[in-house]
Amino acid sequence: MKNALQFLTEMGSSLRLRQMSRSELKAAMDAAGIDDELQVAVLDNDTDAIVEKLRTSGDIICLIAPDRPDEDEDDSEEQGAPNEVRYG
Amino acid sequence: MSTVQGSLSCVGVGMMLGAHISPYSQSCIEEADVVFSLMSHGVVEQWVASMHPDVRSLQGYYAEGKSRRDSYREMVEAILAEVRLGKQVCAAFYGHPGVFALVPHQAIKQARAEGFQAQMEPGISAEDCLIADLGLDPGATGCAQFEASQFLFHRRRIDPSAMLILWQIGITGDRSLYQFHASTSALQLLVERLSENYPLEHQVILYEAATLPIGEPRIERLPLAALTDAELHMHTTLVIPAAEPLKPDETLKKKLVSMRQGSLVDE
Repeated sequence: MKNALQFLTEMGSSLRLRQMSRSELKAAMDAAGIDDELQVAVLDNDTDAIVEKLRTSGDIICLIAPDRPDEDEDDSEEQGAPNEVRYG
Repeated sequence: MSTVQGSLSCVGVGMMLGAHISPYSQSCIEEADVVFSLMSHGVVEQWVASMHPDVRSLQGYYAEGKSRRDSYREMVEAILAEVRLGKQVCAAFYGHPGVFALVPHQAIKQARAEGFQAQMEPGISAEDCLIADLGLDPGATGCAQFEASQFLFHRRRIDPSAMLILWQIGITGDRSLYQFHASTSALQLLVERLSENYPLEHQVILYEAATLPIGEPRIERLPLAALTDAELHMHTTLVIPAAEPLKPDETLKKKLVSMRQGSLVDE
């Protein structure tokens, strides 16, 4: 029996799983022992429900900051060079 | 007598859970003494945490009201502190660790400056996904790309015969570094700036890479003028395809022909 994270990871790397029809994917999740609520979330492409079921945070801050060491630091910050993104 | 010395590997895990990580990057994570992670999604962070018993998220270094510069310094320092203890350290980042990423670059520079071995292992970046999902070859017309706020705050020479990519359009105009939404006025200024080189009816693309294998990338085409009313997220990217054909440089071509003829005479 696999947990949901393992199943999603396998799905990421498997052409077979990603090309499955809805019914085939449901059967694969049944076989992997994925619980019903998570199955519905996966079948409905419901990212928020997956985040909730996996008890992880969907509210993550991601760094997107160009590396510009030659610029004056205060100037760089003032001009808005480094930034970050919140995904969720 | 052998000397115990720390090392640092900064690796990228790609954009999509389970799909993009290279075998070598995975090995760097699994075989490290300690792993630091900075990911794009909680599920992806959990996935990286499942690869090693000691994975430390760098998310905690961000805080409300705290300068991001301080957060970045502390992240670099946290990574280096473990390297200095003689550990084999892996710092894993979403996408490519060297693209629009200050912390990995700084950590590697600092580690090398202190005499430690440090390397960067590339990952599949958002740009890579964008090229694949949109079917746009940057080599076809050439391509320029900027972080959107940096683009807005500086005078850039735009070439409308090349593709233009603006990252983080969703927080365009954020000078404070604390905002997470674009202001309408900043977007209007951006459209105004772009309209100097592109017609307002020019079709642009809003793009978001898929993070989980159940999702699809967001690909929304709209006229440039409609950008101010579009739904933008923090990770939305603006793609502006070339609006003009490439213009041949006839003068240079003639010079080249003339130089070739001259060299034939010399021979």
